[in-house]
Amino acid sequence: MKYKELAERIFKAGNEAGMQDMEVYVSGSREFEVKITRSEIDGYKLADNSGLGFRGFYNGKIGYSYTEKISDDSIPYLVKGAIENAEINDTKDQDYIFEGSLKYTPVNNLNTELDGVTEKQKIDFAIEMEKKALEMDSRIKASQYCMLGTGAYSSELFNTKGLALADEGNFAYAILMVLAEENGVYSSGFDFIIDNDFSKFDTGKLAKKAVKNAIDLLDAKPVESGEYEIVLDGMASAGLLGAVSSIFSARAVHKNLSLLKGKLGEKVAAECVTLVDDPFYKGGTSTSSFDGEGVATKYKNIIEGGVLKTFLHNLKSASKDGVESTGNASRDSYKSTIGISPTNMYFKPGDKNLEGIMEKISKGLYLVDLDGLHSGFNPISGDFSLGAKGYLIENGKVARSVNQITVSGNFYEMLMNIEEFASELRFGMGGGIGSPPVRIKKLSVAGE
Amino acid sequence: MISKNVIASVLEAAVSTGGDFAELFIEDSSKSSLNYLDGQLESSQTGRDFGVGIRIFSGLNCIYAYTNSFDQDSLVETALKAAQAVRGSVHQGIKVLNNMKTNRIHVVEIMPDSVSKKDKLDIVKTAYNSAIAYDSLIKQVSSRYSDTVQNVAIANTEGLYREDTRVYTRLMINAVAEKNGQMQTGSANPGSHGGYEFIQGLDLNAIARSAAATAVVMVNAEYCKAGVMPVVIDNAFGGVIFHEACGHGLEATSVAKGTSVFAGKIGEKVAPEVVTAIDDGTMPNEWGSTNMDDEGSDTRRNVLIEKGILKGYLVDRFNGRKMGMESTGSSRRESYKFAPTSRMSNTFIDNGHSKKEEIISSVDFGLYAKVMGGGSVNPGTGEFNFSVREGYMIRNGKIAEPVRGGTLIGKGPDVLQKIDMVADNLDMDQGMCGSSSGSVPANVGQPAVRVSSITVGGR
Repeated sequence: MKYKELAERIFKAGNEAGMQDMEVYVSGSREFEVKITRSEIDGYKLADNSGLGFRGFYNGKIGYSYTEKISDDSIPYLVKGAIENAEINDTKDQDYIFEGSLKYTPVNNLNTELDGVTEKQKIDFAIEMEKKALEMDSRIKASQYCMLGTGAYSSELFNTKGLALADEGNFAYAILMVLAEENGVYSSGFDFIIDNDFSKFDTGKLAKKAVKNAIDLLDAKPVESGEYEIVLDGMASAGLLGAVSSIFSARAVHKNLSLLKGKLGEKVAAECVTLVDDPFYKGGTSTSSFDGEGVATKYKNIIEGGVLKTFLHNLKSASKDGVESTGNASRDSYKSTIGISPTNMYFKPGDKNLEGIMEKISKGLYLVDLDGLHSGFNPISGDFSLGAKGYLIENGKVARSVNQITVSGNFYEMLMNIEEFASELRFGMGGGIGSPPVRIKKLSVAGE
Repeated sequence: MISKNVIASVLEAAVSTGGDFAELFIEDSSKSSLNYLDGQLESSQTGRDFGVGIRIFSGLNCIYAYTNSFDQDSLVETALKAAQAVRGSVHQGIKVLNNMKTNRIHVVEIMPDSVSKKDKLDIVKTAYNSAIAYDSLIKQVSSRYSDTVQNVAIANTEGLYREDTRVYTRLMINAVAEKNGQMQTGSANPGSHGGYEFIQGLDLNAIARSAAATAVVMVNAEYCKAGVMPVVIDNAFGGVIFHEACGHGLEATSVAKGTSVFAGKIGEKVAPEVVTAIDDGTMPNEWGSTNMDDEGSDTRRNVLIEKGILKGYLVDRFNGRKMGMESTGSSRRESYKFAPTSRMSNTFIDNGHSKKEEIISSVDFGLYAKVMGGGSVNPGTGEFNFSVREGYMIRNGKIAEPVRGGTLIGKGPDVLQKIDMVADNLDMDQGMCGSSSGSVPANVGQPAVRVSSITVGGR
């Protein structure tokens, strides 16, 4: 472990300044990204990023600090900052520096074959992906985003209770967004992949999907306003779930920011709904054997058969509720204070495929894209009103494309109105949150 | 921060393979934040961001690399690695670095890092208590404070060397009202490119109460009914509609690619004559202002639309090359981790001649969007969506019942054409704008405007 000795020197300085239990978290990554526009390199990025987060107790209260200048000169700054923050900490809750779990489930996030992919292969991949999209249909006028990126990361966690943990992994992603135009009408389409297995990256497949999405919606029109039976595509559903994910945090419950408060053991969703938090999901972007506090992660159903089984906990919220941590302490980076977040969270898929769940709909909408999740969605009330695009379903089949509509509802009500999930699980761009296509009894649509 | 000799050697390395321009962005920032929630301190953080970004141009190719390393060897190594991506041939060399004075428009009296955490805690506590006390329906309040002192040095192969210190202070209040199991929120987020004196000058009570008031009105409101109708969007944060629906399409980032609906339309009428829109990065101590942009050019007042005619775009150095246009001092980035690109600063629709009352009374049936929430746009298609944070129906020319959950959707160029009345009550509000060069402080603003017809989503 690279930073063990530095961590020890920090602990020594903290100790001399009167601090008690302390923890050092160091994370770093090396990343590469290329962006292509009209076969030219429009963006080319090399990143070498690392930082150190420090926290520790001073007079029984915890304080935080961090630095991106990882060297011994930063030690006084870290200790002073943490003490200053501890001194004003008036929290009534107990914080913890953790001594370690008995057992950690090993995970493997490192695909060494990815290191063998050359920069030229990566650039050529992006150029080819754009080229294929532009050649596929004359109505495709440009690529709005065409990029390929790869990266490797590592993190180390040390504390004065003797815990020393390390994690590493790598990833690659490709994103394509194209713009179609016909008779002055514009439409854009999108596809992406995130995986550390580069053999799964297929320029043709990505181009085809992005092009289809753009072309299909060129002749899109609104539908009449009213209530519709809805099939939400997996990505769109994952987007909604991601925007509301904090409601499953025990912290949000304690702070009166989740309407799931007091609903443990109660029915909060239709019976077909099982919501999984799986830190061991293979290829997941949040796959890890330990959480932000060093607690061993575990697989759990948050909702099972429609019943709320557990909230997500870190050590602090768990001690408040008198339960064990669920291993969901979050630490997005060395800059973050400890919070709570899901690992790889997804709705459990059903048996039928997408066509299968549309079959019985006599008139409804299949929505592939929801806009405005960060503004048109109030995660506290669960109310959403979002721009949407997709297709009109008539007699179980796609009839035509639809845009310039809004779809509105309430997430909590929607959970109750879920009819079924299809089989095709898909994770969203932000990573970590997934859903298969889902059929919902009704949502309100504003169009013409 | 880093000596000029070291900078020169890094720049030399960056153009050693034939790049025709290279630039260094050196950042050393200190940040402090506090979040007061539920009657206690939820989190407080102190940190230092430090890194160097290296940008190389080779014709119309752009390469960017960054690192947290600060010694000469690692920086030169990073520059050489980035330079390997250049396919040029002629080595151009660099010009001697000349110190260029930065004109400090934004006066800072009290550096926030000189203020104790205890004082900052008192501020968030005071605001918290005012918001909680506003109404018994207020069940939760988050009161946050943040400051950043961003020291930057920018140097390039044309001999430019410039330093600047950007100081940001901000208070963010979010209040939650609950009634019959329903929750609604309200917020107020004043911020400044200025020192701690900005925070001291705030009327904490009034700010906290305005956030709480929105939450209380909305929790008592019925859902907004969907439909196509005229909408009156009030001033200040209402300007988010122009920012999202038009502003992003005027950034060279999307214009140079030809993917903006405004590409190739300079000199054309894109809005009714009542609309004049400006982006002004020079406004003293405003949230979106800077003394210089993130390429070291002076910020400017750029007229985007004058009396309905498209006058200009927001241009950065790299996209300017593609478009054959000069930089407009609009190049911005969140930090050394991002290559800069054209971004908005303080962007607003200028005052018109109507009175707000006159605009309201002109509407028989429509929506009054008193406070807007956020929104987003696809610059290629112009499609946007915004949430209405505090809205009311207008009936027979009068503001009637409050409505919740409203959304405005449409296409930027269409809605711009439909702005048919502009009031004279211009005001600004503060937001964080996210795009390819990260999240940057930006002001939005406008007087009250009437959009003759727009799709309102509700339920």
